[in-house]
Amino acid sequence: MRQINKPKRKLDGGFSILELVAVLTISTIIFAAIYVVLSMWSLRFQQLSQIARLQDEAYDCMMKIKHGLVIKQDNNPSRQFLGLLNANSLAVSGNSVTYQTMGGGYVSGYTGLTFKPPRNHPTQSNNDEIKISLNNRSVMYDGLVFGIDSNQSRNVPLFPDEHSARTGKMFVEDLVFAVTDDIINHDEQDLKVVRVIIKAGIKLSDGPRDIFQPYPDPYFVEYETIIAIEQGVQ
Amino acid sequence: MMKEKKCKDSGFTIVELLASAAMVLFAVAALFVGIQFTENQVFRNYRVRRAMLLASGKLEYHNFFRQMRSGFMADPNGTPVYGRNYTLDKTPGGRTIMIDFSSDYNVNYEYSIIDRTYKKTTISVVGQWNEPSRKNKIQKIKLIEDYYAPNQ
Repeated sequence: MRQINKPKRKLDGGFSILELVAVLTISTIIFAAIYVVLSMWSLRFQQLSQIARLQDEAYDCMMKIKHGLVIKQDNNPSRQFLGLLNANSLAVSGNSVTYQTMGGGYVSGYTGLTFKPPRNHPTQSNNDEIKISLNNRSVMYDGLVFGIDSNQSRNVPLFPDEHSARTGKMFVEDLVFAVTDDIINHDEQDLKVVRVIIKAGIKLSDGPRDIFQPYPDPYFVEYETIIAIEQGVQ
Repeated sequence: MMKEKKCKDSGFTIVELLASAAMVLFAVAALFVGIQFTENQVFRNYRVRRAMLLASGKLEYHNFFRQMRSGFMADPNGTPVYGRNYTLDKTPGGRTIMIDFSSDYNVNYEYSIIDRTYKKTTISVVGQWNEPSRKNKIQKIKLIEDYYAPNQ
């Protein structure tokens, strides 16, 4: 009977202040480490999403320059799809620039390009003309289609979209249309083939640089290709 | 007499402790691997897209030259715009990745449609580089374009 009443363990004396301080210190360190690691991962993930968006939109812009935008008249089902590939003639315009590529080489070119679309449809006019240019850190698509000004073809921001352009979060650093080869391109106002380079950037953080910043800020991508017009050589 | 409430004060066994620790570790590792995978994919996609645009530019240039000069360049790899080796990317760590291009022509006269023979020309451009996300294994892209023209 005596044995039954006797407490089994003498562990109900609580913690000493030393134990408490030690436990609190270790817990604080562990939770701080977890917080820092998760914050870094969260930041990395957010910035990767932004970088992926920049890559997508810059690539999409390149494709639109090459293949064109679908443009239709307000009261007409006819559509035009005007890009460099199906142009009749090309001419450089805008400012002259010298661009340093990612590899360090220099390319001379212009910030704009004007082209005449093919006249293969009754609704297309001899006056039709499209200009792609770098304007206020955005790539703009400005043109006269169906022989008239169309809301769908006048000052259309190709890249970045209006919101990103207004906030300055995403921007185009350089747009270069370069004459690729003097032997083939006899005349800069009647080009047949052009080298296109676009360098775009995104601001990854709004405030001061984060100490855990995993990627360069602003982050840049550069796409480059050569586009030859098919109509001009037939 | 009040009935004493039963209380289990035996704590956790070592097996339970190890199992819960393993689960937490697994969750943390999954998060880390997920972010690592995303990062690799994002930068690899960028290199592939950039390589595709560069290669398609080479294809266009070769075909354009063929049409303008009624024949191919003497050296398929002699594109004057950007040569065999070109900078593909610079990683956030500062490493420069170079792409190595090679081009080839192939002309066939085999294609007959109804009463006409068509000359088929195949232009191919291969680009390869050491891909950091794949432990520097060679990553290759190949673009092939066929052109048909009536055989004169």
